[in-house]
Formats: sequence, C-alpha cells, structure tokens
Amino acid sequence: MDQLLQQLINGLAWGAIYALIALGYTMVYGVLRLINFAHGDVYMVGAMMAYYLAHWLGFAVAPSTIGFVIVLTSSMLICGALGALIELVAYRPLRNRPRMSMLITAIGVSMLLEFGGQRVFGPDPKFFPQLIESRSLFKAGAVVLTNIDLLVICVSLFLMVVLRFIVLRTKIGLAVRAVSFSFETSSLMGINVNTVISVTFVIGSALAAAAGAMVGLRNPKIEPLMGVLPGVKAFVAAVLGGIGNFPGAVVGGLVMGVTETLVAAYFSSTYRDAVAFVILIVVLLVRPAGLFGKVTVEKV
Amino acid sequence: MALLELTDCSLTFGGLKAVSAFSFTLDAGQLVGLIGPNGAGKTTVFNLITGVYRPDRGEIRMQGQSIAGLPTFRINRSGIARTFQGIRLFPNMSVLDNVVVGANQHIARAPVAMLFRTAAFARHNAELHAQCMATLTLLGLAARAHEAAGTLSYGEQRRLEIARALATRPKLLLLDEPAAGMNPQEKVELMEQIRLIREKLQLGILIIEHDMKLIMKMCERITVLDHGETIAVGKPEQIQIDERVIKAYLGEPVAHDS
Amino acid sequence: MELLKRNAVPLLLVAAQWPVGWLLSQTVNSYYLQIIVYIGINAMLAVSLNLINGITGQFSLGHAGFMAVGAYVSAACSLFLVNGWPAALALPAILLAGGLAAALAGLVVGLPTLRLRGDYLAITTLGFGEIIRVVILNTAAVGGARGLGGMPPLSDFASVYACTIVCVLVIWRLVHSPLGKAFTAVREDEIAAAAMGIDTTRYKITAFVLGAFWAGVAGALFAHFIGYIHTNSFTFLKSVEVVVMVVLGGMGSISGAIIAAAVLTVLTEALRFLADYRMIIYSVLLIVMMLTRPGGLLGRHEITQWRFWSSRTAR
Repeated sequence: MDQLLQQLINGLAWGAIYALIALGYTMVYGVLRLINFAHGDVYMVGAMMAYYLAHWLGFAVAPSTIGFVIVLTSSMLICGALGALIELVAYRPLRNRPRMSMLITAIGVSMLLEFGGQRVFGPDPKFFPQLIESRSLFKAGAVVLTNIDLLVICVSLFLMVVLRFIVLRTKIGLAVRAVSFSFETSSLMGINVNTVISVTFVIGSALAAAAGAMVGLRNPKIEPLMGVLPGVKAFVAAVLGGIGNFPGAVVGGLVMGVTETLVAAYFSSTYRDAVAFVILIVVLLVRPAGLFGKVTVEKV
Repeated sequence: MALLELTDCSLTFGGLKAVSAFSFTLDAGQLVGLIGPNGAGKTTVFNLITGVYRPDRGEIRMQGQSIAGLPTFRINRSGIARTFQGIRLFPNMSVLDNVVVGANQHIARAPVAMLFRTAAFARHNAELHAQCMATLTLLGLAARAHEAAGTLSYGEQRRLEIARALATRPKLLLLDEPAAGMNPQEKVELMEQIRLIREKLQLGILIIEHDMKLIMKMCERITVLDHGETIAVGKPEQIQIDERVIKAYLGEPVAHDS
Repeated sequence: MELLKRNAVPLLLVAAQWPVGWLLSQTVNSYYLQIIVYIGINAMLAVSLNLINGITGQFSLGHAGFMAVGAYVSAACSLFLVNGWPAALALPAILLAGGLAAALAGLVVGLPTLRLRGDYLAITTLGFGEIIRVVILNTAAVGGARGLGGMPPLSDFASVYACTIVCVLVIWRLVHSPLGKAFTAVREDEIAAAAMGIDTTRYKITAFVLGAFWAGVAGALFAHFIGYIHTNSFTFLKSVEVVVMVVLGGMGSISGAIIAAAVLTVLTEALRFLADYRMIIYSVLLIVMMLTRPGGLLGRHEITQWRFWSSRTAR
C-alpha cells in the first residue's frame, strides 16, 4: 500500500511533465494538423537553457527559490522564441504543400536540435544544479512527498490554469480556438492566422521548456537526446486524451505518467518505455478519437 | 424494386439539421435532379448515400440491401459511384491511370501472373486498356489519355471524374455539379454525353446542379431541398411553378437562370 | 517456356550476379567490396521504404526496426535452427524467416495504426523502433547488450545483389501493374480512392507489410554478411538515413531511391572525417530539400519514362 502511494506520487509528477509537453503537441496539431516532431527536443533545449542560465546567473552555486523561478521563466521565454523561429523558418513556407512535406521538415528540425545539441552542448550527460534542495515535506510510513514533487505538480497546475485562462478568456485564445476550428474561415473573419500560429508555437514551446527545467530538478542527468522518448510519450498522451483537446492532454499525460511508473514498479522497469507504445496501439484500436476527442470526418 | 431507396434519413451536425426526414427513391434508368439553394443539404445527401456520413436515423437501401454505415468502398462496390463537387482526381497520375484505378475492383487478382507478367496477364491488360480507352472516348478524353490529370482544363477534369466513376461499373451514378465552371459550349457537350451514357449503360443518375436550364431539360423528376428538408418533388414543369421553390430561391426566375 | 522468355532479362540479371561477384572478389579489395554490398542493402531498404512513404504516401520511421527484426530472427535461425544445412538451403531459409518475421511485426504495428489515422504512423513506427531495441537488449538468448555473433557468412555480393534485383522487380511490377496503381491513388487522394471502390486500408497495410518484409530480408543479409549484429546498427538514425535516401531520390521514384542509396552510402564512407556532423548534415538536407525541391532530385519520375512504360504494359 505504501509503495503504491509512493509510486502514485512519482507517477503524478512525471504525468505533470508529460501533460505540459502534451499540451504543446495538442495545440500545434489543433491549428496545423501537424505532429510537431521537434517538440520533444524543445523540451530538451528548455532543460539545457535552464542548466546554462543557472550557471551563468550564479544560482548553481547559491541555490534559491527565486533563482529557480528566474531560471524557469527565462528558459520558457527563450524556448518560446525558439518555437516561433522554428515555425517561421521550417513550417510556414510549407503550409500550402502536402502535409507530408511539413512532417518531413519537422523530423529534420527534430534531428537538427538533437544532433546540433550534441555538438553545441556536448554529447555527454550534464548534471543539473540543485536549484532547490530536495527535502521531504510529508512522511507517512514509507511514503515520502518531497518538495520537488510538490513543486513540479504545483507549477504544472499553475501553468495549466494560466493556459486555460488564455485560451478561454482572452482575444488571442479565442483566435486560437477559431483557427483550430477552421483555418480558412478564420482568415476570412480577419484573424491574422500567422500571428495565431506563432503564438501557439510560443505557448507550446514555453510549456515544454518549463517541463524541461523542472525535470532537471527531479532527474538531474540531462543530455541532448533526452527529449526523444518523453516526446513520443507526450504525443501518445495527447492522442490518449483526444488530440486537439486541452483537458484531454492533461488527463492523458497524468494517466501516462502513472501507468508507466506502476508498470516499472510492479512489472519490469525495462519495459517502462514500452508502455506508451502499448497504450497508443490500444487507443487506436479501441477509441481512436481518444478519451475526450470527437471523431472528425474530412469534408468532401 | 427501386434501385436506390432512402427512408426518413436524418443527419445533424451539432445543433444544425443538415438533412431531416429525407425520403427518396430512384429506379433503374431514371435521371433525377436534386436542387436547392446553397447549403440546402444536397452534397450531404450524396455523402450519406456514399457512406462519408452515417445517418443518425433512417434507412438507405441499394437494390433492397441496406448500405447505411458501410464503408465508402463497399458502397461503391454495391454499384454506386460518384463525382465530387470540389474535383478530387489523382492529379499526378495520367488520365488513363485515373480510369484504371476506377476499374480496380474488376481487375483479376492474380499476384503470380502479375509478378511474372504471364501471357494471361498481358491479355487481361490489353482488354482493360481497351475498356478504359472506350470510357475515355465516351467522354471525349481519349486524346488526353497520357497526360497528367492535374494538367487538364476544369471542364475536362469534371468529365474525367465521370469517366473514372463509370469505370467502377456502377448501376447508379451520382453527379455533384458536373457542369460547374464549364462554358456554354462544354455544357451542351456534357448534356449530350450524359444522355449517351444513360442510353448505353442503362444507369440510374442522380444529379446535383445549379444550372437550371440543364436540370430542367434533362431530368424527368426533380427533388428540391431547402434547409435539409424536401420542399418539392415533381416533374420539371411542376417545379418551375411551385411557390415554395420560388420562395426558396428568393424569387429568382427559376426557369431562366443559368 | 513462354514464362521463361517473358522473364529472361531479370533471370539473367539475377544469375549474372554470381560471376560478377566472383570477378569483383578477384579484383576489388575487401573494403570497397563491403561498400558495394552496403549499397545493395541500402538500395533494398530505400526501395522498400519508398513503397510505403513515396508511392503509397504513408510515413514510416521504423525501417531500422524491421531491419533489426529480420537480422535477429534470421541470425537466431541460422545459429539454432538451420545450423549445418548447406548454404544453398540455409540462405533462402534464413532470408525468408527474417523477412516473414519483419512482415509480421509490420502487420502488428500497421493494422491498428493504418486502419484509421495514417498520420500517426510516423510516431507509432518511431516508437516501435525504440521498443524493439529495448526488447532485444533485454533478451539474453540473442546476446542482449553484448550483441549477437557467430553467424555463418551466408550472404555475399551475389546474394545481396540478387535479392536487391528481385526486391526492385517485385515492387516495380507491383506498382506499375493495373491493380497496383491503386497504391499511388491512395497517396494522391484517399477519399477519392475509397469512393472508387478501393479498400484503402488494405492497400496501405499491404504496402507497409511488404515494405517491412524487404527491410527484414535486408536485415538478414546484413547480419550474415558481417557476422555480428548489435542494436546500435538499427537505431532511429538508421531509419532516418533510409528516409533521407527516399526523400533525396524523390518520393515515389524507385530509380531515384536506388541512386540516392548509392550516393549516400558512398558519401557516408567518403566523408568519414565528418562523421560527427553526419546527422546534422542529414537533418539540414531534409529541411532544405523540403523547402526548395520537395519532389526530390528526380521528382516522381523514373529514369525510364513513366509514359513509355505504362503504354507498353497496357498493350
């Protein structure tokens, strides 16, 4: 029982990370119908930026909560800009071409970030500085809730609430929803589709960066290929929740994190990474529109 | 027995009733028109018949067999072929190959013969080639057989869509605005071709068209849709004087519109 | 007899690989011979992936995974099952075993994915490629992280090139047959294809499974050429390499894929001093190609003009 609770806590923390990344996939898929392969790598860049910022700004040697907040937000800003840049250079020129072209470019961008990252950051793992000292907040029997776990969950929750506010209560959020609904109609209604798509990439990438920076706190080993598997898993989470659906992405991420942790704990840790794959196959077989998605038919 | 029979079909998108309580029959060899203002639900009816959408309620029968909810390709194999309002050819394939794809279900499935290019395979190919060319000739496209479909003119593309649909050997042909974008000369030719096809192949044809002159001239019966509801059914001369129809078209003089 | 006459050219071509192989072994040093063999294997991979990605318009990123399945199953087969058989029997047996195993894996991955959402195929196959590596690394029976060695050198230049010719021939004849034109139709417009009575799912799965089969055969040939295999040879990078070949050659062009496979294989060897930058070059190549020449170097055309061919087959 204790172990189960402990695994649930771990699973939720990982799930929150997946959820943040999954939101970016879902947003971009919503407006462009593109699986943005590079998204998982933006998450990696987020972790790397946080690492370098922490060192440059001196927070690595003098850890503090405020330091963490500064590192986190700066990394989010940098990656937001990176996301917009990727869209501008690699995706925008291909918008009217077959979807396959954009998908191939996305794979190219993903690889460029991964292997460019290996040249720039070095291929060996780096150790993320302890910006916030890990301590247990709560202990009941063998169950430990660390402040890091709580922080990851709370920050994720906070960002999701902010996102929800932006999407539901602001003009740009309305525009994002409109573009997701229909590209052509939105542009006819005077919405600047280019701006909306850029904003989508900025927000999605910033969320991924936040996930990257927080993962550094929990699992300090970071390296240029760290984004590949979480990227795939977060995508599966988005599909599980129903691609294009925001709450779905969050639920999908949490389910993903918890399932994966439980499988690793009770079954075999070697098959931890296989969980996502099995979930994807099952979802596609049983409920291809995902938990909260609607079946869509292409207009003819 | 009717060739195609729709009974009480309804479909809603969210709150919008796209088609409501639509009943309709078409007998073999009949040419029926489906008209109505933009957004009346005409193409949705086509999409219901061809399995793009599944009706929320109601029954669709082809020669007595229920086809509602079947996948599109099965419905085509039951004898219903269609053209698309927004042209959907295979643009990078040759005109001939577009028709060959249409004939797909009638090509012998003999993988060994195909891999070894046997004499039987060659014979079969020659037959197929002749059939497809005949279909193209019927629509005046034989000279274009080896050009890429995407390079044809708009009117030619519309006719190629018909040729491709005919290659599936349908009993019922659904034409979605076949004359859209054609010049008057092409329209006259098209009418002649449709008449010829009907005579030669004994097809039932259901046609959506905005060109009233064409519709009134060709169809023996017309169904008028407005806001998803059937507002009139009858012979062309009855439809022309039907008040609800005239109102639906906002007083447009139905007969002289082109 | 008639059959023999109709297929004389391909038969002679296949048969010619043995004398050519002997000649090469007498004249060319083993390093160059190895590169030549790799060109054959890569051409087989590129042509089979082209069937999926270029001709049918789906997007697989897991070719290395299927290659791995073929390599490991065939290796296990030659080590434990057909050990001691004469080479002339053992070779077809292991090739078939590797190919069929990969095809089966392709069916398991493709069936749920292709049935509905073709655009998920890229990520499913990417996931599959990673999972298959995890499974192999954790299976002690096939060497796990140590790799698997000791396979008899059953394949050589002649068998690799004979298989490549057969692979190209099968795929070429398939997609240029009247029935096979439906593969291209699925790429061009899936909805229209379905409205013409084509079971699009079936065509997509056929392409995917057949592509996986040949990737498996290529894996089997690879394993029995170098005699030692490790999962490191079948990473995501290998899959991307094959994708780059297909894109470079022109999506849908079989001859383009072969040329691109040859060029990239040679370049990879020639630019060994740039090895650290290889993947960066590949990624930039993919992006730049898509932005400037999305049709690839050859576009959708074959070296032999498509029109010439289709009028000849039709007669």
